Amino acid sequence: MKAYDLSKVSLIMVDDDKFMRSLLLQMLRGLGFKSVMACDGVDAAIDEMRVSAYDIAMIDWVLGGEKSGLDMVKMIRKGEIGERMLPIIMLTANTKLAAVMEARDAGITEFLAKPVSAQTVYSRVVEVIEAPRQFVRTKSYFGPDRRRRKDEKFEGPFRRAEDANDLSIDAGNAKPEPAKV
Amino acid sequence: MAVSDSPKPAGPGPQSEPPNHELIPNPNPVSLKAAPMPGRMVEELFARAEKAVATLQGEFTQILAKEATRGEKALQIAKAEPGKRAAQLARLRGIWHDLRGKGSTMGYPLVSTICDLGCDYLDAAPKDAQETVEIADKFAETLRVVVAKDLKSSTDATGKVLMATLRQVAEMAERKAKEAKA
Repeated sequence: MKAYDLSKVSLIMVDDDKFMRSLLLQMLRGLGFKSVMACDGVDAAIDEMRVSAYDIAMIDWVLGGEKSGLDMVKMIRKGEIGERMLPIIMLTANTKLAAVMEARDAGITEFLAKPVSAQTVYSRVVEVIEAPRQFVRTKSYFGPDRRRRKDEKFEGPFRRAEDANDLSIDAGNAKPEPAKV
Repeated sequence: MAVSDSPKPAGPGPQSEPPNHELIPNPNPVSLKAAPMPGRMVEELFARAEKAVATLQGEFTQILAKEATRGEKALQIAKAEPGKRAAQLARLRGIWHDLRGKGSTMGYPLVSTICDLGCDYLDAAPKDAQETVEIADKFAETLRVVVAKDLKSSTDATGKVLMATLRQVAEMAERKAKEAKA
């Protein structure tokens, strides 16, 4: 991994656990962040994002209030708060596949499993910097492209309904099959 | 890979269906603000971050003891008052969920493992069964030992025995919980 100067990158972090906020704050400062705002819930984060713009959001899934971290992700992607294409790193101790898929479908950028380490936090930030994904807007989704890897030699099967449209300009020499979903 | 800011064409001809998605390039403003530091090693950044986190060690040890006690109290109530069992087990799960998210970061990987196994068990087990309380108590007991002896590593002799036993209990308990549900 490359070393980056993160002193000009601002980050808003949302976690209802006071100790976890302290921990992440120390870790992020150690990694070089100078501008970190720590909020204890979605409402405080919304207030903060109304007055200041941030480059990255780091949001814990389980929050004490009425709204969860996932609700906040959805609000951002709907354009209700902050910049709609804000990179979002979702924090959670629930690493079951179903949870990862749910977070992905809500439009997160990166998934960060707790317990965290300096390496795992930094690696997600580097992923945001070095591997930005294009955004996709459909009737039911707005967020980073959920297909992380593009295999130019992929020849199908094409399972998405949208693939039928994609093929005309995206699939190159792929041999299309009828869309199945 | 072609990307466009406007809806993609859905094929030739005026009768084509309207596109059902659009692809939007990511302007990635973060990359403009994060400057590479040639000659600097990431290990330096990690070491600095870990040193900063280590300043919280004392605070975590206190939290661990306090939360383990809160968990014990929840279990005591669940044992004594069947009507409150489900609520107290949910409370216990919340405590373990928080601890599993911090333990390893703060140098207590055993705490994270025990609480992770405990959460998985409680997710699978019937919420109002006396047996669930009894098995949950085994996890709590293991946590009690870790806290009392300040055990940090799962690789020393005590840690290994503790974890091997607990994994066996967890596997058996999860299997029984699934059978009961089925």
